[in-house]
Order: sequence, then C-alpha cells, then structure tokens
Amino acid sequence: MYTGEILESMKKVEAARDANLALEPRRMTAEEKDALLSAYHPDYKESEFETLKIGVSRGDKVPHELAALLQGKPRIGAGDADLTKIDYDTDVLIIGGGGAGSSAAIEADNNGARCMIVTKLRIGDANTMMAEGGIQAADKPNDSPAVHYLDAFGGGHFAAKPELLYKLVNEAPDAIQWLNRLGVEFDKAPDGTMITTHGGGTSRKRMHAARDYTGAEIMRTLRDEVLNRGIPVIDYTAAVELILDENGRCAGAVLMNMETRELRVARAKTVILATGGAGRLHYQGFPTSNHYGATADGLILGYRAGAKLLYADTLQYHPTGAAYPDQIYGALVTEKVRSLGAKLVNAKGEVFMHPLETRDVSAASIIRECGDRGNGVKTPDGVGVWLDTPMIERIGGEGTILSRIPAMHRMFAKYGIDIRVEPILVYPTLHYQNGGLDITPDGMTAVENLYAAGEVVGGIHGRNRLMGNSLLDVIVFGRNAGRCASEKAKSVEPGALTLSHIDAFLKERGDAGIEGDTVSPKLLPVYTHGNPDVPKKPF
Amino acid sequence: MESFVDVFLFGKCYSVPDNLTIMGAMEYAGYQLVRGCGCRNGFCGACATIYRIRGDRELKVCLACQTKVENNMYVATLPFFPLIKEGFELEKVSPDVSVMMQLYPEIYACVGCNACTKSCTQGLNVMQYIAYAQRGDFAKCAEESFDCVMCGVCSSRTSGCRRSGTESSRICSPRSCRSPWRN
Ligand SMILES: Cc1cc2nc3c(=O)[nH]c(=O)nc-3n(C[C@H](O)[C@H](O)[C@H](O)COP(=O)(O)OP(=O)(O)OC[C@H]3O[C@@H](n4cnc5c(N)ncnc54)[C@H](O)[C@@H]3O)c2cc1C
Ligand code: SF4
Ligand code: FES
Repeated sequence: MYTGEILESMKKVEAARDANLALEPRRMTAEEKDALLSAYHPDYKESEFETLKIGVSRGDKVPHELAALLQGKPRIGAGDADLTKIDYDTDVLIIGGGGAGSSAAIEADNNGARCMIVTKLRIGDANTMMAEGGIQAADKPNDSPAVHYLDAFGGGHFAAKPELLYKLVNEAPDAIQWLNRLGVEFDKAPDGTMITTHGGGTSRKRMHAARDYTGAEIMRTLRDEVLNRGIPVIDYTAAVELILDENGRCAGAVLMNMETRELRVARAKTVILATGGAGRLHYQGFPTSNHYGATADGLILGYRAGAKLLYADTLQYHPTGAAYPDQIYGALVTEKVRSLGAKLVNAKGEVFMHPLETRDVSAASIIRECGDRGNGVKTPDGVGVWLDTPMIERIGGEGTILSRIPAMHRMFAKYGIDIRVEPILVYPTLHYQNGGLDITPDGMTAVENLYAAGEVVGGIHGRNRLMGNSLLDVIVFGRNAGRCASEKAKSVEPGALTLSHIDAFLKERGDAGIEGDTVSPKLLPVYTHGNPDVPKKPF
Repeated sequence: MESFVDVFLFGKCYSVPDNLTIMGAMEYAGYQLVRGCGCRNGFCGACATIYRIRGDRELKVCLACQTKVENNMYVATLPFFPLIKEGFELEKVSPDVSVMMQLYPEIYACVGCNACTKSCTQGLNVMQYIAYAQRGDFAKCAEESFDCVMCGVCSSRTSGCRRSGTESSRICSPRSCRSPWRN
C-alpha cells in the first residue's frame, strides 16, 4: 500500500536487505550517546521546560504542559463538596483501574482490608492493557537480580533511587510467579519453561511475554481476579481532588461522575494513587501511544496535597511509533519487533544504528536521522525511518510474525500493509512518564497515608526506563502499596475531613502571580482533528 | 488535498475528512467522547460499533478506533452491552467440562450459525473456540481466543447470533474466564 516516494525508498530497503541482515551494527560509545542525547533528545530541549513557582517541588523543572496543570486552577473549590455527607467509606481507596491499582486491590483484599477502586473510564481502559512487549524478571539460571539491577541502573543513567530499584529487581521473580498462578498465560516452551528474550538494554534474556498482548493478558487476568473477589469497582468516576484530615493526612477523595459531573465524597483510611501516565498531554506536540485517560491526574492531585515530585522532567519517547498510515500515527510498534531481529534502516536503505540501543538513545538517533542528516522518509503527517520487519521471518522462520507479534501484524494489515513482506515506517512517540511522585520503599508519598504505585511514581527507573521494567514495577509496587496501605489502615483513626489545602494552594498561586485558567486535573484530552467549526473547549 | 465523505452519526449527517477513523470522525463532528473510548488503539475493546453503508444489505461491526470512515456510512456505537460475568474461585474450580456447564450453560444452546466468527473484530474463529469450551478442551480454547479484545461484538445480537448473551464479551469472554483451566 505504499506509493510514490515512499515506495521508491522501500525498494532500496528491499535491495539492501540481504546485506543488512548480515550486518552487525556497532554499539555507540558512552561519549557518542551523551553527545547524541544532548543534541537530539526532546528532554534536553530547554525551551520546552519551565521552573515550578509553587508547591513542594518549587524550583523543579517540568514540561510547560505539566506546569500549567500542576499550577492550574483546581476543578472544584473547597466549598463545592459536602464533606459531611460520606458517599463511600472504605479502608483503602484505590484511584485508577490499571495494573497497579488492580494489583494493589488484590493484595489489600488479601490483607483483610475493605477496599474499592474508582476509575475514570472502565477498569482496564489503561496503559497496562496496551503493553505489548513484555515484563522483565531475572529468573533464569544465567541471570540474577544483581545483573538486572545493573542493567536498569545503567539504563536509567544511574539516577534510580537504589532502595526502590533494589526492591523492583528482587521481587521480580515472585511477581512473575504470582501472575502465573493467577492464570496469566506467558509464552512457554513445550516443557513449561518460560520463553525469555532480550529487550533494549538487557544483558540477559529476561523478557517474559504473552505473544504481543502481554499487558492485555495481565490486565484481563487481574481484572478477573478483582471481580471474582467482589472488590467494588466504580467506573467512569474520576478523582478530582484528594481530601485530607485536620492533621494533614490523606483521608479520601472527591470523585466526579464523568458523565453527569455529579460530585461524590469517598472517605478512606489510606489512599493509593495509581492513575498512570501523561501521554495525552502531548508534550512538545508529540503523538502518543498512551490510552485516552493518560493525563497526569495523579501528579496533579498528589502535588496539590503536598506530595513531592521526582524527575518529572524526564519522559520516554518510544523510538518506534507508527509514522504511517496516519490513522495509526503515534501508535506503538513494540520493541519486540526489534528484539526479534528487525533493523532500523534509513531512506537510502542503510542501517544507521544498532537496533537495541536504549530507548532514549534510539529515539534521539532516529530524530537525528530524520532531521539534520536528512535521511528520513517523508510521510503525509511527518517523517520516519524504516523498520525492516520482513527480516524477522528471515531470521526466525516463516510464521514467526503471526505467532509472536500478531497484534502488530493486525494493526498494519487493517491498512493494507503486510509486515511479513513489507517494512514499516516509524518515528518516536510519547510513551512513558519516567518521573512522577516520590515514594519511600513502602510506597508512601510525602503526604502521610497517601500511597502511589505504577507509572504515577518517579524514581524507580531513574531518568530512563528499560522495556519490560514498567509492567514489572506496576505489579511489584502495586502489590506493595496494597499490602502497606492496608496494613497502615489498621491503625488509622480517620480525623475530620477538609479541603482547606485548596484554599492554601489558591493563595500561594495568587501570591506567586500565577494567572491563566487551565483547569486541573485535565481528565481527558480534547480532539477536533482540525475542524475549524468546533470549539475546542477543555473537558 | 483533503477530501471529505458523508458519515451519518446516529443518523445525522456530517462531512468529515476521509482519512479519519470512525472515532476521529465523531470527534471531528464535535463529540467529546467519554464512554466507548479507552485505549484508542485496538487493545481494550471499548469502541464496538455497528455500521451500514448505504445501499449495502449487510450490517457490519467494527472497532471505531481501528476503522476508517467511508462515504455514506451509518454509524451507531455500542459502548455497553448487558452481559454476565460469573465469579469463581481459581483455586477451587477444576478444569473439566462441568465448569463450563455450570458457569456458562448458554454456550450449549449454540445452533452453529457462525455469526460470531463472521463478526469478530479481531478475525478470530469464535465459533470454534466456543466449541472447544463446550468440549472442555480449555487449552485449545485459550489458544484460539488469545487475541480477543473483549469488545463484546460477537455476543451482542448485532453479530446476528440468535443465542447471544454470555458466550463472550468484554468482561466475561472466554478470555477472561479462562483462568481456571490453566496449569
Ligand atoms: C502502548 C504501550 C505499550 C507498552 N509496553 C510495555 C511493555 O512492553 N513492557 C512494559 O514493561 N511496559 C510497557 N508499557 C508501559 C506500561 O504498560 C505502563 O507504564 C503501565 O502499565 C502503567 O500501569 P499503571 O497501572 O500505573 O497505569 P495505567 O495502566 O495507565 O492505569 C491508570 C488508570 O488510572 C485511571 N485514571 C487516571 N486518572 C484518573 C483519575 N483522575 N481518577 C480515576 N482514575 C484515573 C486511568 O483511566 C487508568 O485506568 C507500555 C505502555 C504503552 C502505552
Ligand atoms: S469479544 Fe468477540 S468479537 Fe470481540 S474480539 Fe473477542 S471474540 Fe472477537
Ligand atoms: S478504544 Fe480500545 S479498542 Fe478502540
């Protein structure tokens, strides 16, 4: 289905395929990587960031879009919700129905706590559902948590909080076993051994997958478990503000029905934020691979209540978002495509980098190839480089694509591109929020009784995350937060509820001279696809 | 040059760029989606949709986020369908036929019309995997149904199935109730 210039370029890729298959591209040196990142990675573009003027992390740099929300106007005033009328009363309130929230709910339930999940869309309408590639854990004889630690620590530019990363890698094998027992069907050899592969930045094969529906398989299993246990799930209900008690401890949340906009009050002994990422803020105008509700709400709610941020200036741009056709512009092309052997090739048919450099390096390298070097392929929406998928069938044998990455095949087949015989065009897409709320190893933020787990957290991975470590973090820290928050709840006596922090925040905002009417949290993006007649008013 | 097509959203005509998905067309027309939109990329099954092209006898089903608009397309979304999710305790159920009979008796009323397979938005062989489930061949059922996104299309009556109700859906599809028969 390629035409014109794109087709011309594709022919060059085909012609060079044999030679490119044989080629073992060189890895970049540390110096080369540093130079590349600072010149081309979006995180290094200073004009795209600003310094926070108010709140506990004032002085930190964050992207403009995030700053506008963190310092934005609260959706409700302190007097808008009637805190004397408690609609939901529970031990552990879990905000967000993705992998982290569901894992937390299961463990809180195990610990005998009453808990409930509130979620903006449906349970499972979440980034977790979309994860394709896999989940890391050092559970093979040639591997160990120590090696896993080194890979992740280096990949994250030595910035991870050691105690968090330590927990992540050490509890990884158990997380896989837990999922397996719940019924997740990991890819296995006939004798039952789990099949593991490499991902960008791994020195051992420790990526566990369930075809390229790994996240979907995990999410539907967790959801099933949550429902089987009868844990209440309130869907189409967003948290719009946290509630504190008179001692400044977190004690619940104000909820908003997404359809009727009615407000409800939930009181809890402890609260877990598991609201995921921020792709739908479209930093620097990038497209995104994220689900519809990824609008950084948890960062906003937590920040306003006094939780600190960590590394909120580091985002992950996945090197391979779809660049063509435009209906799937920005959609993820899983890294597994490269793990299985597809190489990155420029418009002239040249392999311009090792396909398994870390994500930040790969993204920067593609941006350079398409930018200054002028070796990109022009598409209707932008530009891209080739990812030579037919190589996979050459390396792994015919049928590898359908058995290992059926979702990828399906995604392109819908638009007439058969990735078994034709390569695809890719360009970086906004994928993951590396930074987020700062937590201690028990999952608590700087606000007492407010826990956080999953993509909303910062610091576990440092300034860059390796593929497969996020699904892992969602399970490990989701379970951890569920356990710790339910344990803590046993000794909490709820105090008088208050929203006075909103007034304090508004005052600080006024004193700092911050104006603007961006309402936060954002909850949902607004798309009008360029229709000039439709007003683009925020949700 | 952008070209436009006529799309009828719940019967009302809108002129939209022809490169949009159905989901994009709704947004272009000015809808702020809340229900019926989750992952936006073919993984969550939130956006099940029914459509008919004018002049065409056949009623079609699809995922709105994965389907390009066509001229004279009549669209109705199906963001929810009342289906049943049975609960079970994973440690207590045993992987044999009786589990299916007990939890999902209606699959044994299948008359083999194959409407489910024809409608599947993921191109799965639904009737076949339901047959595996009926027989208690859970490993095969799990294998065949693996790529299901739980959109519910096959089990809604829009698929044409005359026995629909629970055989597979966004919450209670064999995909999400498959757990008991795993090793
Ligand atoms: C396309 C894609 C592919 C990926 N592939 C991989 C991979 O192969 N390996 C890997 O390790 N990681 C991968 N990731 C990353 C990983 O999937 C996510 O980081 C992780 O699943 C996040 O889980 P979570 O539970 O923190 O958030 P999510 O799963 O996003 O869940 C957050 C939930 O919170 C809800 N929510 C948000 N705001 C509110 C609010 N205000 N009130 C109530 N509810 C709210 C959301 O609707 C959602 O249900 C991928 C991510 C994407 C997008
Ligand atoms: S719910 Fe039915 S139609 Fe939808 S993907 Fe699954 S099997 Fe196919
Ligand atoms: S929105 Fe998830 S499948 Fe369409």
